[in-house]
Amino acid sequence: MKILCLLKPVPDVDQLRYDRARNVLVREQARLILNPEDATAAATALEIKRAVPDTYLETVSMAPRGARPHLEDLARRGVDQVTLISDLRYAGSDTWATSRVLARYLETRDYDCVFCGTHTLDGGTGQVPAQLAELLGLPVMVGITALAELDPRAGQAVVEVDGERALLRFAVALPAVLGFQYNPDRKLPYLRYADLNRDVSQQVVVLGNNALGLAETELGLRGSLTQVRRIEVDALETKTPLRLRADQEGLDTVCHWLEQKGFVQP
Amino acid sequence: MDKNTVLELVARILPASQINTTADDLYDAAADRYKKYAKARKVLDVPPPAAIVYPRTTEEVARLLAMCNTHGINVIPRSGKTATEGGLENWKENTLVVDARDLNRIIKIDEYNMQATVEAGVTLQALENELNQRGLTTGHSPQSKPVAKLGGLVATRSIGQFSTLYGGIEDMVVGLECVFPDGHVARIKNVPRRAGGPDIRHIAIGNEGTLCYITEVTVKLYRHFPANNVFLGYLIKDVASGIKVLREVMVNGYRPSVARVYSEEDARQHFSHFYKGHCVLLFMAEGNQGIVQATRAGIEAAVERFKDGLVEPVDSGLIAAWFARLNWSQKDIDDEFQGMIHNDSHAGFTTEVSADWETIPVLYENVMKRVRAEFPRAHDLTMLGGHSSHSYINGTNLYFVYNYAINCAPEDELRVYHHPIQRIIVEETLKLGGSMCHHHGIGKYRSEWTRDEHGSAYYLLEKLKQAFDPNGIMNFGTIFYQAEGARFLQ
Amino acid sequence: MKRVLVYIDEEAVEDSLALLEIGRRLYGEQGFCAYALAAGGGSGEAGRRFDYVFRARSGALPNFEAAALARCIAALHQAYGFDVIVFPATHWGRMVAPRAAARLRAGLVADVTAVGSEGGEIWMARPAFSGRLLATVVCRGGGPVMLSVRPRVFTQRAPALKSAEFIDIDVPDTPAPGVRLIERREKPAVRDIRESAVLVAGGGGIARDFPLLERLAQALHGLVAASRQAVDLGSAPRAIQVGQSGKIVSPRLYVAIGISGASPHLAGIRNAEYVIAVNPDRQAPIGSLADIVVEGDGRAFVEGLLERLEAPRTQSHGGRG
Ligand SMILES: Cc1cc2nc3c(=O)[nH]c(=O)nc-3n(C[C@H](O)[C@H](O)[C@H](O)COP(=O)(O)OP(=O)(O)OC[C@H]3O[C@@H](n4cnc5c(N)ncnc54)[C@H](O)[C@@H]3O)c2cc1C
Repeated sequence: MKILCLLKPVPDVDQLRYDRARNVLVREQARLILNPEDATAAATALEIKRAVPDTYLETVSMAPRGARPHLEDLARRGVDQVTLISDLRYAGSDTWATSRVLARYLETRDYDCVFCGTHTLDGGTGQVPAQLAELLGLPVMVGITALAELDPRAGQAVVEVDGERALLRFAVALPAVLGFQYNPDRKLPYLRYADLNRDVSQQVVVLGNNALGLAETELGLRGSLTQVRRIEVDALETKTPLRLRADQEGLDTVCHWLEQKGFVQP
Repeated sequence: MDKNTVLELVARILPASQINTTADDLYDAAADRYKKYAKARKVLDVPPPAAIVYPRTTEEVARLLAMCNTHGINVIPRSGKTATEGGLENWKENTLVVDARDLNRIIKIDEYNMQATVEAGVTLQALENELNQRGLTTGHSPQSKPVAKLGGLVATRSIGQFSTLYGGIEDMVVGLECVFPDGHVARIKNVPRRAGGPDIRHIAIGNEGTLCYITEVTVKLYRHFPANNVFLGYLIKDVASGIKVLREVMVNGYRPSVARVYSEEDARQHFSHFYKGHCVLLFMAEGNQGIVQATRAGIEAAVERFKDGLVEPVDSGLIAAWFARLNWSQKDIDDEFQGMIHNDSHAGFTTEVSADWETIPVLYENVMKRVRAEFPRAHDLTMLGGHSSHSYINGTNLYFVYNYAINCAPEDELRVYHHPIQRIIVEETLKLGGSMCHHHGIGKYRSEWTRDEHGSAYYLLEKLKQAFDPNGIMNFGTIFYQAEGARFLQ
Repeated sequence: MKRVLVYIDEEAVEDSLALLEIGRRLYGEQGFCAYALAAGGGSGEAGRRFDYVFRARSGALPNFEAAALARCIAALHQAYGFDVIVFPATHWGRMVAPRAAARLRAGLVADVTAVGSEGGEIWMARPAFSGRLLATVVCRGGGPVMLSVRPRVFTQRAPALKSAEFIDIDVPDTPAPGVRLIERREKPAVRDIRESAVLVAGGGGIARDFPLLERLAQALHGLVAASRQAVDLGSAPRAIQVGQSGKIVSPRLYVAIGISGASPHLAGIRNAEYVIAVNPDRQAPIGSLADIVVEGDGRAFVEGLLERLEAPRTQSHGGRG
């Protein structure tokens, strides 16, 4: 069985800074972490690989080259191939442009199933799994809490999904894009000391647009269908809270605020 | 010898009620906070001791030590269990942990002569509670005050948060009683000062359980004026600017009880609610009104003199509120432990060093650069910074603080993360002539560098060990490097 | 006249209908024609609020049939040329929308919390980086403007009653249905606090009034959580302790009552999007993460809030969306 797992290194939001003068988010100093939901997906795949050793697992990440040390560790944790798609021309890609790059790469691969997280910590749009599925013509299911069955021979996966109102069980035809929900108890296996410095360069594949060959117009900002106009970061700095007293006026304000934010129905 | 023989020998000295062989307790006694994560995850690689014993008198301590000395049984003295550097870690199969739990009497609070005498197993908090009621204090306030006990505090040469005014424990101990491996009990009398030969208190103070067992301590007392406390805080541009202000305050003769500079990253974990991405400089002045006012003026003048490095002042209420919550109780320690079981994370590690004024800013930069450039897991670091928290006329300390996402097996954590960073800090410090251990003691993991720390003066230390513990039964592996223990040192 | 299509998620019909408000904000009450796609259900309700309601001729097409739904939307767009297509940012809405956008080669903005137009261009604002920043985004290219909208952020003031024209559509040919529902279980009552979008957390300051917090949590459709102090005092089980030593949570709303916010606790809630802190001490560190700090007694606050939330709601409360 061959599983491809999408994995995005994201900046640790706690370490983001905002440069007011330049009106940009400074990500450089922020430590990268593996997007937690993607890590859940990869951990699930590695569990499968442990149970069914002839499983082939490849992770696919579109990220800056600086992500390489994080990704190399995946090979040390048991991933067979770690693919890093990196190209300066991809900078500024929105979910559509990203999905296109990923789809182009996936078209060159042979797989039974695509795993990924449902959302990312940074953008948090949750759009890539479904856009990718559409581009590849595959079924998609997201919000998966458990994988009950994955059987390429029968051509189906059985997954459990935490829908908004109910817990649901679906059969999904393979190949498919399966988006997992974060599960703190399903962790990537530990790196072992003996493996820490193991040379995994053979297992790491780095490629850019020269290999994928998308047209210039499809790349980065130009290839995106949405564009960020402005970023407000007041929340990023220490919040300046609204200060109220626990009196009638304060309570009214809180009620109004709860309505505004959609926590209670007016 | 096997463990049963050890237990038989102990049973001849103590009743069963003073001997503990519960498996969980022995596991707990095998290591201290140094291997906290491996311990929480139940993957410790060091052996449990044969037993934990609780002597009730100096006499019992003397008989236990003499027995161990005769039979070559390793002894680990233990008090509050807050050791951070492996001082309580066990590297021997046949080990007796001699715990001061029942040496817990406050013997005398002498208000007229301003000194208090307590047994080794009294927590500093218990003593302070008694003293505060009488308007007094020892002036000692390590973060571990609620848990650490006088025996351990003296044995590690600990220091408190108010040290810039009151000094370290070595400035507070008037006299003490200790027991040597051959069973000899030495009482060092309590006098204001004397020129009776070398100051032998210092053989016991800081011995980390490698020379003698401390049973009783007498410390100085001070009047306590908490109502007069003044807090001052500033956001500053960088660590070096803060160090300049600290020096200015000190060399002008002021003694704030607290004088600290936090790097930006360290400030973030302590002061996320007001640091605004800057370094933090803070002070506390205490004592009688006149002194407090003068100290405050002195600090303000120093800040003014170096105002180029200043960003803005901080509301002193915020500093006071932070300070009030700083100490760690047993509950906090237990909590961190639980956290390590659930969350693959802990509160981080520290390495505390000291050097003169000139050296400190250079050292700080060198360490930061080297860790970022050389540490192979730098990408896992979640924080790397530090603070200076204890100043002297000729220099100050640096408390390097670091934490990381633990991406390895619990049993590998130290050698993957802490050791390589600690090695860089120690090497850089020794290179510039500083001390690699400002206040936690050497413990076991820095014993590799004890010789380098002392250079030609190591001769004195070595002779002390040979003289007082010729059979090497006292806290094997602590302070004095042991080739046999090297396998634990990786 | 502008054309706005709203996708109706049959499991969140009210929330979907309310998205008409987006059209109203952008084009004014009379400025647009309102279309609803109610392929999986909810067409009756939609019929009273929209001008046109599309239904599936062959019977309900449920919300998890994302591929087929995307084709329907694309086909409808071919026929009607919508200016804006809106989805509720529900679990299912957010699975269907990207597929549809990909088919239409249209820009899609997720989880929008504010919209407007400026110089003829529609902008949408959405939180990102766990709510730490707000990004204003525009769509490019020729396609319709597509967005999924966070439920209940926009509410409609006294919606006009309409009587829609129902249009039955054929579901375009889809390759074999990829997703089949095998089982459906209503959600069990006991949930993990890590999974709840709303947490009402109590600390030492309210340790004796946890039953009251339970009521507030219910009113806000959330769960009760606790600080270590409350757990130590025996007011709450360890399973609901938040913080470094308890659980790290990331709810949308965290209401901290009587919690001062020692740093291990704060470490557990850094990813909460909104925090309301109720505490008698205005310097309490919890304030540093809070959007609203209520200075005062926790119990009085909860009682006052419950009075307001549990009272039968009247129209006069609404309409401030
Ligand atoms: C949260 C926390 C905060 C801390 N803050 C500070 C701080 O601010 N300043 C500071 O200096 N340290 C600090 N420490 C370190 C630690 O608290 C000190 O080293 C303390 O002095 C140890 O005292 P203890 O009673 O816990 O000793 P233990 O941990 O029991 O023992 C420490 C060492 O002393 C030896 N020892 C113990 N009792 C005796 C005895 N009776 N006779 C001979 N040897 C003995 C032991 O063998 C061991 O080597 C902190 C530790 C923690 C966990």
